[in-house]
Amino acid sequence: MAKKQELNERRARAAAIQAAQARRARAMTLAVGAIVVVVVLVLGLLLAYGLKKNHDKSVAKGSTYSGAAPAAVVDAVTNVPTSVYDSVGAGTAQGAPVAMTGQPAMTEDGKPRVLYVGAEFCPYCAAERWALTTALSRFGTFKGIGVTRSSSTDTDPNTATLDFKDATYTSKYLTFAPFEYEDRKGNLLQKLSSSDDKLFTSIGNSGFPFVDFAGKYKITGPQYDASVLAGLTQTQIASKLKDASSPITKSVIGSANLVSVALCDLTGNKPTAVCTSAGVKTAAAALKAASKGSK
Amino acid sequence: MTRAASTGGVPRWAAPVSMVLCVLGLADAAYLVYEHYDQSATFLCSESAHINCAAVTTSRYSWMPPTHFQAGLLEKPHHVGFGIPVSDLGLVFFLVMTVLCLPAMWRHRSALVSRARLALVSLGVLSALYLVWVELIALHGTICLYCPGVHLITLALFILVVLATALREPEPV
Repeated sequence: MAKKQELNERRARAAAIQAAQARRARAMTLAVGAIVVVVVLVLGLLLAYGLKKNHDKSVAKGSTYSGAAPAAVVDAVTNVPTSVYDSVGAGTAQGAPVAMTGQPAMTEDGKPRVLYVGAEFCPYCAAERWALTTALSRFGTFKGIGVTRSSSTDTDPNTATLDFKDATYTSKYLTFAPFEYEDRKGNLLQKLSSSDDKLFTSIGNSGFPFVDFAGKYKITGPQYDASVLAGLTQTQIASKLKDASSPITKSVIGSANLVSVALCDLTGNKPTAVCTSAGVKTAAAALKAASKGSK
Repeated sequence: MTRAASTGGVPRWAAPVSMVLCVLGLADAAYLVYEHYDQSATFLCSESAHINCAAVTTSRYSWMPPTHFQAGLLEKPHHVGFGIPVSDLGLVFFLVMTVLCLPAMWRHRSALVSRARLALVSLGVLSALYLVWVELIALHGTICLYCPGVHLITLALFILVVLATALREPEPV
């Protein structure tokens, strides 16, 4: 009887051990399965990134990385219809020229001087150049605008943009002095004069982009999110600027109208057609409301 | 003394290795919280550095749920609506994981502790996968080096916790 009970107990213990081993084996299978799933997902994401990068590269091949801007691009950027400016107003711009106090007025040939310091590698400069070019084109004429792309290793890589390296600007209202301080690889490209370098260092904190509007206003960062331009060529971006409903136009032209508010203040509201236009007035009103709201 | 008695049945390496990972994760997550709230983080391209961590830690995806920035005229965009900074969630994750990975907690035989640890680390690894997608795809390959650090630590913690839980020895009969 006792032997039978002992045998039963042994069998029960053996069954319990077997059940525990089976549970462990199941748990181990599940664990390895879960780890494999996670690793496969990580590899899948890396593969998707690689494919996307290749796609972006093939898109980028459609536009040049340097040289003169195609005539169609220059035409589209410098001749955006007034109706588009008026319709967009401040658009989706997130930044505007900020008023400065205590800075001496910066002039050249008796006209207010606008200083731009950027760099070809800089993605934020890539975004800002579109807005600056469209805005300044309403006050004067550009020549020698080039094209470039931001660095391939920075945020918003290879953002298609214009280049001010060889650009000249004439206007009866103001002067514009653009400098591309570094090239796409971060090498020194255009040196600043000591007085401009002082402004860049002291007001601009040595960061790109930096725009000094005659000592009265400054821009020390992008006015909109450069990712809106991702994967596009200069030609594609320029062609969007006649469509007021495009997110690109809302960003670029909204920013341009805000720049125009500052430029109009420098030029004594000239040219009148620009400074009294609905787009600039709407942007000025939005700027006023925002500065009130932030107080 | 058997392994089951001294470590609660889990492999001996589970507690010390998981503690090291949790402490590393805590330090990394704490730095990312600092980066997120750092007011001096600027949207500028630096003259000397081409990688800008602020671009990641202040993007719309740095909030959960991803938020829309105010389309207003501000020097720095700020988020609108409800949202919790992802960096804060990361810090909370590592704080709770640190508690759950204390040697005393590994020794604990409670199924609740074991399940909580497993559930939390699974949630952590899913969040890490989402954030890898954000950096590689949504932000076009913009990577803040401290973020992959957190992701790798979370992945290692996941593998460790899953294996240690599966390898746990049953209580002596």
